[in-house]
Formats: sequence, C-alpha cells, structure tokens
Amino acid sequence: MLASVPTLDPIVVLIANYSMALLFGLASYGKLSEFRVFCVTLEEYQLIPVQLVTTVAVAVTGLELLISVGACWQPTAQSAMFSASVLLTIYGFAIAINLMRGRRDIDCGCTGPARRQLLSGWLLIRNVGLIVIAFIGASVPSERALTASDIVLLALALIAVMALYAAINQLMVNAPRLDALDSIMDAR
Amino acid sequence: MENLLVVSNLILWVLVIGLGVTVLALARQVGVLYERIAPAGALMVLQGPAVGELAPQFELEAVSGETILLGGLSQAKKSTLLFFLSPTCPVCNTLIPILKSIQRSESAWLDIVFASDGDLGTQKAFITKKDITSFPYVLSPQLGMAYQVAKLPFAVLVDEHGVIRAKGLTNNREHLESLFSAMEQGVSSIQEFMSNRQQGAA
Repeated sequence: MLASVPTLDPIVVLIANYSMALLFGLASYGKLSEFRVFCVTLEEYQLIPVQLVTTVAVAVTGLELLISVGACWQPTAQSAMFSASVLLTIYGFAIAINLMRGRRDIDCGCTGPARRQLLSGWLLIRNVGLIVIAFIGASVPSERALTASDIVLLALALIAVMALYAAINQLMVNAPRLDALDSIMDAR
Repeated sequence: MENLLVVSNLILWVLVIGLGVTVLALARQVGVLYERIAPAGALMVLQGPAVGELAPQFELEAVSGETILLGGLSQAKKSTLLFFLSPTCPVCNTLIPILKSIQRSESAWLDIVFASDGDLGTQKAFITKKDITSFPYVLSPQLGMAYQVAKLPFAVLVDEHGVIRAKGLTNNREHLESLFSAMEQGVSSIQEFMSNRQQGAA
C-alpha cells in the first residue's frame, strides 16, 4: 500500500498488530464497563465543551473497539494501526496540555476508570512507545509463509507483552502514591 | 545444533514470560504496600494556631439565632469539634452523615459546630437540605481566617479548657477519628504519633 514503509518479517508485524488489538480491546472494555465514570474523566480533561462529552466518549470508545477488531484482520490492519497512532497522538496532546496546566491530579482514564492512574510525564513516554509499535504494525511485511511455530511464537510474545505492559502501568499507578508518602515525610 | 537452538529459544520464552509476570506481581505488591503504609490520619496543617495553644475566642451568632461561644473554658465541660465546610464542597457533603453519627455516639463529651461563610440564603437552604438544623452553624469569615483554613473540609478539635488538641484536613471518617485518637494519645496529629513510634522502635 505504502511503498515508503519499511518491510519487516511478518511475525514482527503480526505481534505488533495483535498487541495493539489487545491493548485497545482492553481499553475500550474498561471504558464501556464504567461508561458514566469515563464521561466524567473526559470532562475533567477540560478540553471539550460539556455538552459534547457524551458524544466524544462514545466516539472514542467506538473507535478503540474498531481499531481492536481491525488490527486482527490483515486487510484492515494497516489502517487500524494508523488510526491507533493518530488516537495515541491526540491522547498525548490532551495529557500534555493538562500537565502544562498543572492538572496532574486528574485521572488518565487510559485503561478505563476502574484503575485510577494520575497524569504524569511517563504517560507521554509510554504513548510514544505505543506509537512506535503501531508504526511497526503498519509496515508491510516481507513475503514468508507462516508456520505453526509462528503461531506459538505469536502467543508467547503476546503473553510477554501484556505482562510487561501491565507491570509498567502498575508502576505508573504506584508513582504518585510514593510521591504522596514522600511529601508527608518532608512535612514532618 | 538446530534442535538445541529451538529448545533454548523456547526455554528463554518461558523465562521471559515468567520474569514479566514476576515484575508485574512485584509492582502490584509495592502498590499495595504504599497504600497500607500511607498515614491514615488527617493531614496535619502547619498554618494557624498550633496544637496545644489556646483556641482563639469568638462569640458568634449561629444561623438559628443563638449565640455560640468558641474558645475559652467550655461551660458544658465538653470538647468542641469545629468543622469547616462549604455547601459547594463535595467531600464536605459526604462527611455530614458521618458527623451526625459521631455526634450521636460521642455526645457525652463532644459538641460539633459547623463553620462556613457566604450567602445566608444558600447556607440556610443547605442546612435544611442536609437536615443539620440541630447543629450550631456559624457563618464567619473571621473564624476561618483565625484558623487559617486554606482547604476544606477542615476540622479543629478543642478540649473543654479551650486548648486546641488536634486539627487537620479531613477527607473521610478515618481522618476525623484520627483527630480523636490524636487527642487521646496526647499527640498533635497521627503523623506525629507514627513518627514517635518509629523513633521509639529505632
């Protein structure tokens, strides 16, 4: 489709596609399961008029779901990956604007509102990493027939990626708690 | 040789996944730990009259019309919990039912006084809505200034001799109760209590 995009081994592209599918699938599930709370989270970003919050929340959740499904199907995978990188860039700007406003104590809403995760610069770095993965997933793979062992490799890699991603997220959830403890110790 | 590579690769995958899961478990445990060791008590605020000092004296007219004496020797020989709130503060609203139940269970030694400022009409509507007409409710910007209340909800516990025994930012029931335990244990805040205990243990 795009000749300028570098070619990679198909398994690398597949791992990137399915990782993004899992990520966006979980994210939209989290948002859907507590949709009202997600609307409040979105409102707290203070970037869109209050009347539009529900519409945007529906659009964001729907788009994440579409990306998740689209990433799993070869003909749509590339467009899904490009949409994902656009969405992640918009999220990055939304977070950056609020960080500059000094609103660090609002919820990220990233993986749904169930797990409270405050805004921080680390989220921007994480988003850049995710955008890189999306670009890998958008590249055209070289011609190679996939075998059964490729499927095993895909499954193993996905488990590892998810564990790592969850661990990184947990560390970002932890960080403000540690800061809070530190400031109490300093106040003594 | 090729077999060996395949086997070693598989073993490495298992190890990588195992490590990933271990790191995740560790990060979660650290998170739980942070939550557990966070001080449960009200966050001590250093501004305003210090714990142990005499509470500033005020003679204020409550919204209901009665005269409320704050600070100085209590005629009823009771302690006073001065609770600063505002009708527009959501956390304050969640604490009102808790304060009602505290007043019921601790009425032998404690009186609760609500303090706020602003438009009388709004305040009266708020008092009726929250059904706190039986509590003394004073409107006085001077009172807030005397205690240098910067954030709400803020509570000050004054004993029957008019001495400030504990104070702080109170966001939940545990914070309120921490003021009472701070008074019982003769420390100014739960933070001080924790730090004394740590020093004692060291």
